[in-house]
Amino acid sequence: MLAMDQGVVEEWLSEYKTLPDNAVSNYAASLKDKGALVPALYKVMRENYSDLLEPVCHQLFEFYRSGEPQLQRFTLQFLPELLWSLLSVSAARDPHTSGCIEALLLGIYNLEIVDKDGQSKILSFTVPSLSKPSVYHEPSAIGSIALTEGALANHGLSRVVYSGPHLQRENFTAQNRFEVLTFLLLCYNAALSYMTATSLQSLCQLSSRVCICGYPRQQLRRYKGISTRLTVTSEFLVQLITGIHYALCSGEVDLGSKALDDVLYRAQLELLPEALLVGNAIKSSLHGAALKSNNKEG
Amino acid sequence: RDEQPTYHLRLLAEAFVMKGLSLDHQTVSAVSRVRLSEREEESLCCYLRACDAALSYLQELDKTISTPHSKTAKSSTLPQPVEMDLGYFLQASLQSAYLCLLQRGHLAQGAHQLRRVLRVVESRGSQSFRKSAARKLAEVLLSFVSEDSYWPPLGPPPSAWLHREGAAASKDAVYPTVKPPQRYSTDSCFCPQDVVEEAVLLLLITESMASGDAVISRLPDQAEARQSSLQDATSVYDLLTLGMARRGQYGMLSECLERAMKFSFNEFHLWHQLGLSLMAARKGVGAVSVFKECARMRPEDPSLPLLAAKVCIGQLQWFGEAEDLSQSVVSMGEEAGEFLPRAYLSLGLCCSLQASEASLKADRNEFNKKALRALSKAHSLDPEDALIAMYLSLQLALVRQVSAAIEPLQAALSLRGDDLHSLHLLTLLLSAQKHQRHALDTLNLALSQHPGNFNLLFTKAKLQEALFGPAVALQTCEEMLQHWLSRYDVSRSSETDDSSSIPMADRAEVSSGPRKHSIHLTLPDFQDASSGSLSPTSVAVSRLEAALSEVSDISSTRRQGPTYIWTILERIWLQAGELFMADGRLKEAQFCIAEASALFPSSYSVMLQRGRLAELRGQLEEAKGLYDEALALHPTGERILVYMGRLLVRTGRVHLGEKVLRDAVQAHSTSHEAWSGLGEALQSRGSSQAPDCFLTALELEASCPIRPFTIIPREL
Repeated sequence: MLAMDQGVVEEWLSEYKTLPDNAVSNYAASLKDKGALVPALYKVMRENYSDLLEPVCHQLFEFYRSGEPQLQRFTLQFLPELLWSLLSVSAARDPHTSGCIEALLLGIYNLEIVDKDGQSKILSFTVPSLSKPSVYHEPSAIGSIALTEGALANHGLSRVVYSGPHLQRENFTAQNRFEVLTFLLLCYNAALSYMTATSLQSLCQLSSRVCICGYPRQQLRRYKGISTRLTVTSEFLVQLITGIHYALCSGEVDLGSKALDDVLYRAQLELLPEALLVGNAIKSSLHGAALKSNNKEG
Repeated sequence: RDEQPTYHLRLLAEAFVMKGLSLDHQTVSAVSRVRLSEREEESLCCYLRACDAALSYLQELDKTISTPHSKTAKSSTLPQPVEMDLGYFLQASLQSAYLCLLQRGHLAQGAHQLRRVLRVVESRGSQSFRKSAARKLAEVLLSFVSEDSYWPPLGPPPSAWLHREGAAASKDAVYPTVKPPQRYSTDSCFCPQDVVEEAVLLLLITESMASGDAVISRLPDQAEARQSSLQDATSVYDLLTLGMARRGQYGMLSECLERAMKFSFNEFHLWHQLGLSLMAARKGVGAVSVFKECARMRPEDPSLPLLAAKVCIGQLQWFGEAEDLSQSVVSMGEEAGEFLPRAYLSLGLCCSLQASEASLKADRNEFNKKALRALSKAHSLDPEDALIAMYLSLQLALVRQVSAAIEPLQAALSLRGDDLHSLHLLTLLLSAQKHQRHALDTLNLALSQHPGNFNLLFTKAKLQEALFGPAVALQTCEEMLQHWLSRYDVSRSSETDDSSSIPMADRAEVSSGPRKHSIHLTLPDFQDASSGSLSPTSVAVSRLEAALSEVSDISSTRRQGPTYIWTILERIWLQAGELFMADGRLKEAQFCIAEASALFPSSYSVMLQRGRLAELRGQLEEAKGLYDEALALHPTGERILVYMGRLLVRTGRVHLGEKVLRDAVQAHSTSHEAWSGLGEALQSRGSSQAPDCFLTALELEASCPIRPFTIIPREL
């Protein structure tokens, strides 16, 4: 790591500590002007034994805890990189522990599973129904659903919970690791519109590596890091794919389509239906869009 | 103004769009940037006005067409999607505004314009336009808007976003509308609250239109029309998949995809997606037949039969079917590529499971051999696969080659050190080698990685009983009751009922939050009561009554949620009852068994334990009756057969007892209890075969794990 980068990070570390409370939102807005900072922080995370990692993680957690949306997003942009550090270290069973990254991730998780009043957050979703009028339609106009069995059975709107309530976690275990990481990706995905290109690229890399390390396909991608196979769950892959889809639509075509292929490869080998469904749908819609544009040109 | 003829609106729309188009197409030689953006602004303004005018025109047109016919038309048909040819300029007036915004990268304004036009009450002429607009809006929402940046459909886009796209404000108010088209009312109707809700709503609307218009005819001259309607529909279903999967709604997704089947003959992609959605929604039977159809369309794809096999093994217990499916991939050989080891694994698991089910010894041996061959082959093909190595080890353990089982298990653990099943299997193998202390240490390690796992905790109770006696093991039962309570708080609201399709993992641990638990689960302890002021018996009686009333409360009203959580509770009570019996505390044992039987009064394990309790109390006739009932429910249950046989022998009906024990040995050839029971039976009638039985029992006992190896689930 260059001395210059180190200087940038150290300055960032000390500046926030001395900040008076009322200056936080101005400070948050000014963060994006520090061009050298984000790359320097990535370097800290990618380096194996950086002394700066611990204070950096600590400060990123302070950012998140501040409740200031811009500061929270600043921390969130590093989530893919941090997840990769955590997963690769635990797979390599390196004696060097990733304690501070674990603490940061668990900290974010424990903050995110409760709402402002400290109650467990329950994310729910209303399944729309055509049999109820909406701002976009009138049920009477839609004739074809009239009296099918399915339409009658699902008459009216229904509300379902898709995440939560979640339990507080004090440490990572094999049992809760993917539950926590999947939830963190859910939070990251909720903020996708605010993520930088670098962060999206890092997400694509994370997806590829998680899925191909230790498999023959790793040679194809010429990735030289760890070569142990990592465990994955279908829900975790679904969250990764959601992010990859966003990256693909925001112009990360190269890394994005590689990542999508790699996730699909793994989901096929492990026969994971949820991940395959979403991955196939994205592939097919990209293919459809390509067909369309070809027709236009032709 | 109202008297204006309808065609005025059409003229207006076409004039505006022409003006907009010509502004756009004017050569931009030597114009300044300011001039350029002014012109863009102007053309956009034209498009927006053209769009409103066109929509108004179509609504007015509807009135003039439908009024004269209304009397005759009403009786015959619902509003039919009449294909109206709008002509180039009218089409352009409808679409130019949002297309131009999206093309220029103004996503927020484009989405806003799409929402405005979709809120306009539909008319016959606008149907096909609405279909593509709704799909476009859903696409924009799902591809570019994340949860945090979503804004409600009725409000203007957030200024931060407009700013980012380089626009000062939304264009709503800038231009005067000629005659605003009529919009859907906004009161007391569904208004989406988040991005996925809106996208799914739009897609359902589009889907209902697209599947209505789908070209089903397979005549050659219709081929092109069919192809394009299929492409439209496919893109809707793909978007629907993205939205529904983000919310875990696989059940509903599978219903939508099922509707697509009427025009999807031989269309692999839609069939494949349907199969996957059925599998994710745990509709196993449908999934298997759809995957088979997919495999018929693409016989070269090895993943399809394997997906079906996974459903057969995990959801349906159709092991024979799964064997055939895996075999079909195995016979592809090299063609199957990286799936080949998986196919052998699947084959091995099917055989292994069939071996456990087989009632004839010869069949069982045959299946076990096949399973071992397949799993060894899988392991040699892919030694890096932790799952394969673990199942190879399990298969060796099942046929009691305990020391041979250790080697592949070590491989599995070096690949994946914290795997639940591998650690559990190691515990059982160590216990089979009678290294009970090591086994307990391993188990505690496993529990540190998988805290609160009931399967592990049951093993822990057994190990503790063997090492330290029943009293210590009872503490683990107490712990399990607490875990059960905190995990499946039965007082929780009915929001998360079993019918919702939230993934199992999310549902498994429901809030232990600040809410008070509605029931208390504690093991009875009738001995300690002597220190209290009440006399022991009265305490016992009152506690028993209290407990029973609580229990009946659970079993009647509040017993909700999936059955498996109640099965776990039943098993905890039965385990506690067994331990109390082993400790000679029959009263407590009776209490526990009563709790269990309140949950599942007619389960065979409850019958068995009630029988054992009766036997311990010397009520032999009653015990026999209960064993009989248990046997009627589960004719091949190992422990039921053994207890029944022994009881018969004990009560002097040696021949009948011997027969029952022979059945036990036949069905469970590795059960040392069955063999020693048979030995006793033979001995009591002076048969010379008795010593052989005892020897076999001794040999088997030497490799017997603390709980049977079959408790480790075998799944792909």
